Amino acid sequence: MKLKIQIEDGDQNKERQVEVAGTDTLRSVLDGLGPDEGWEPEDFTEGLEVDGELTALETTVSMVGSRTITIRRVWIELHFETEVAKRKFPASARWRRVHVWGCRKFSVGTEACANLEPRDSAADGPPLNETGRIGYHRGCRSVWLIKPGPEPNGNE
Amino acid sequence: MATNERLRLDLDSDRFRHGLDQGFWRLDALVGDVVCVWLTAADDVEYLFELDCQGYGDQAIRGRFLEPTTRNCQASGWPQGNAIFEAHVKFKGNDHFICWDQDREGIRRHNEWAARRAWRKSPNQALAYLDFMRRLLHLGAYGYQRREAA
Repeated sequence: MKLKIQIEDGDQNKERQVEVAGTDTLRSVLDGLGPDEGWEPEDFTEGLEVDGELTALETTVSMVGSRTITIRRVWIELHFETEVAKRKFPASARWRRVHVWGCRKFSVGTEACANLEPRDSAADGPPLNETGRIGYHRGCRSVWLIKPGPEPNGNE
Repeated sequence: MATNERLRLDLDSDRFRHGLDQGFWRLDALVGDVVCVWLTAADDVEYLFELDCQGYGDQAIRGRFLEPTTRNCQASGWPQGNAIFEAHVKFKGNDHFICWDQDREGIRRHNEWAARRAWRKSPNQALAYLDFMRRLLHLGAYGYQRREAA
């Protein structure tokens, strides 16, 4: 059977049709398209949008039926110190995904990564809640990964 | 400008509202100089936090967590964490306070902090305090102990 997937990438829209079996999961469908579309499995831990509702990746194609699968991705320009990287993320992903991807992209160690926080628009911009979703936006959104300064405590 | 008026303006600032929009905190009550907010941690657990802003601007704020039902300062209302977290958030024992050079109780216990008047370095004293608590409850490096999902 054929499965239609609407992909909205920034300002570009396209439709992909893939040949699937009813027992295939949405996860396997994503994995199959990943190399072409440049996404990673971790981008979709929140699920896929089916008829406007986030649906778990373990859902089988037969359960999706003829409903519309939509993948909306938005551009994020991520800054860390003097480096910059631009990438598309699903609008349904959480900011935590951007943080984790950024640490890997900029080769930031685990311990240092835990000490970074995403800021909106500028290095001194307002902080973004990593449990919150990126959401849909037009154009490219700039985000900074910054390390807040140390705070004094009674052990100093 | 009256200190209370200044406090109200600071709680109406763009950055404070941004924190509301991002779900970092929400206002519970503002009575006189005392503000109560619900702080949401990285594991979506909410904690009731009181900011005693007496003498706002001229002295540091006193912050403390409250047990939501009794609204008393007691251990069950305080978040927990590792040694790094405990260096700032004194959640053990019976003497609960925030050990920070911008907290009134922290300063009372560390005389050398008084001269710094660190609470004056930010134009929005209340926001600076809330932002500090946000970092404690969200940045992994600060050692907040996240609760397991139900």
